[in-house]
Amino acid sequence: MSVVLSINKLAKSYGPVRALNGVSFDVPKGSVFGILGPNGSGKTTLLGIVMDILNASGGSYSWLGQPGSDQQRRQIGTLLETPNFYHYLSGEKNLIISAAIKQQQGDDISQVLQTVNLLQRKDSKFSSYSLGMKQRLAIGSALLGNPDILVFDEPTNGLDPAGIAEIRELIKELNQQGKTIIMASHILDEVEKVCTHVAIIQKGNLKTAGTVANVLSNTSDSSTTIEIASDDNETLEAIVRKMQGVNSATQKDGLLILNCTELVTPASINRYCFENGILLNQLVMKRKTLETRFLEITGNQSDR
Amino acid sequence: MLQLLKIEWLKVKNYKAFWILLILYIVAIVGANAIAYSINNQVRESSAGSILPSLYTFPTTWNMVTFVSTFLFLFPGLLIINHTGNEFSFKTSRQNIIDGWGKKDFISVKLLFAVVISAVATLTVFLTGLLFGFMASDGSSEPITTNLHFVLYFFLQTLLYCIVAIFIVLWVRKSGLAIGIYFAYSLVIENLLAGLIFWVLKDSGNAKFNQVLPLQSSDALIRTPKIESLIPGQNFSDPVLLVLVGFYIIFFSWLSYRNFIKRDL
Repeated sequence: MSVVLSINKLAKSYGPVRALNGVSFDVPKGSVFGILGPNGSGKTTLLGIVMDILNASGGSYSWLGQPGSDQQRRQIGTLLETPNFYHYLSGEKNLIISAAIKQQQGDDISQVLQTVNLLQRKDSKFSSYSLGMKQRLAIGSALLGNPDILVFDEPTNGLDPAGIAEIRELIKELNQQGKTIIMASHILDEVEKVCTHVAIIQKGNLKTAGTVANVLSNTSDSSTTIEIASDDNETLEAIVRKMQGVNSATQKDGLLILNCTELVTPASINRYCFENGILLNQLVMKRKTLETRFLEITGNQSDR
Repeated sequence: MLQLLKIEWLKVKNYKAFWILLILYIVAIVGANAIAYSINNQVRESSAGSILPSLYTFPTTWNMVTFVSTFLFLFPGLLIINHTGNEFSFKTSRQNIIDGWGKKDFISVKLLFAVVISAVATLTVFLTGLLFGFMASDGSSEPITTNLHFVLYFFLQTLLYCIVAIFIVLWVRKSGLAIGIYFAYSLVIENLLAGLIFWVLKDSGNAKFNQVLPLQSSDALIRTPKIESLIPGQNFSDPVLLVLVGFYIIFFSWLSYRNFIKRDL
């Protein structure tokens, strides 16, 4: 798979503060690449550097194998940090300017406004827009000219739940059309729902990068959690504790929570209980979520 | 270049504050000259000075009109600072680069914009000069092209003030603060410095060296009509001043350019 964006030991210092500390990773073509990290971890700094508005203190990056250029930025749709538009101009007039800078004809402006649900308000001044509308206009601006690469920094910022769902659908749809999407977010759930790949950044350091599945499974703690329940949890606990591979069993809220080695599967537990004369009325394999993995990687404290 | 200016035009086309300021500036140029014109006439009528021709007859009119209009230098600076300061407060300075302008494009078009503003002001001054020149002249005066170089001087002076304004706003990146610094420097600080240099050097006969200061160099190009030309040696010659003004225009353009290219947005 070819590489859309390659980042090589990128560093950025603000005086004594190391905002980015030699971060390297590749964004493969056709991926939805999530850059995940707490507030202030360096996500926006990283995107600012690859969009040429911040000067790196060290390292390099390349888009499609080429060093960054004006020409390339015109082919990339970008929303960085906040929607930046002329307050006194209408949504449509703002997009006309964006299209002109991107050296496009601007013949898809109405269509883009339709996509982000702003067609009705296209003649209203940007300053009269709500936070969510401003955000949608910025996403619309990124979509101008149907670019193959999109960069979204906190795309669902300021959107209501319906808006958030719409934007996530839009991102998935764009990805299905073969577009590569690079998305920074501090919302784990968002990254998990939308992204194929993820890089986790903390305090300017890259903690891990790879496909979401790889990052999730690549853990030192190989134990799994399985929740079971039956009509008589006391007996169930006594029996299950004897099963090979079960490390511990604790009762909680009418459930029996098992910590098992990877040898134990839901099927094997079900068979074991059945053979011992117990019928389970609940059996859930708790998949390790990105959230637990994220907390494992970054530590529990939100000290950035 | 034309493409860049076209985009800049899209930015200001629907910006009311810009047009109000520009129209006020144009009205102020004509208005200030109308006031000077009528005062000049009153003085001539009320005194024995009536035998003297009006200061607005050709060719003095070009000196007079540019001299009077010079006092409105706050307007072009304000226009420039407001226009460029907006880009920072809206963060469109970032967005323009993200969308595919080079930083070079951004700064070039701002400097070009200063040229356009100066050209508009100069055209207004030219037309105002023609208007009052014809009103004051009785047909016996010299050809209107004599002394027309004052109009060019006015253009260079306005351009220098605009570029100093660009330099300040790119440096502090906030409209309000930039306006404060521009006003304080152009109205007070440089005049204080000029006064200080004059005071220190006046006995040595080199007092004119206060015209080496950036804004003073362009101010000195347009002298007080009829008066300063009578005292020789008080000013640097026009070619020297033109070189100074040219140097400062290039110097502040370069500083602005470097500042914008090197700093994070």
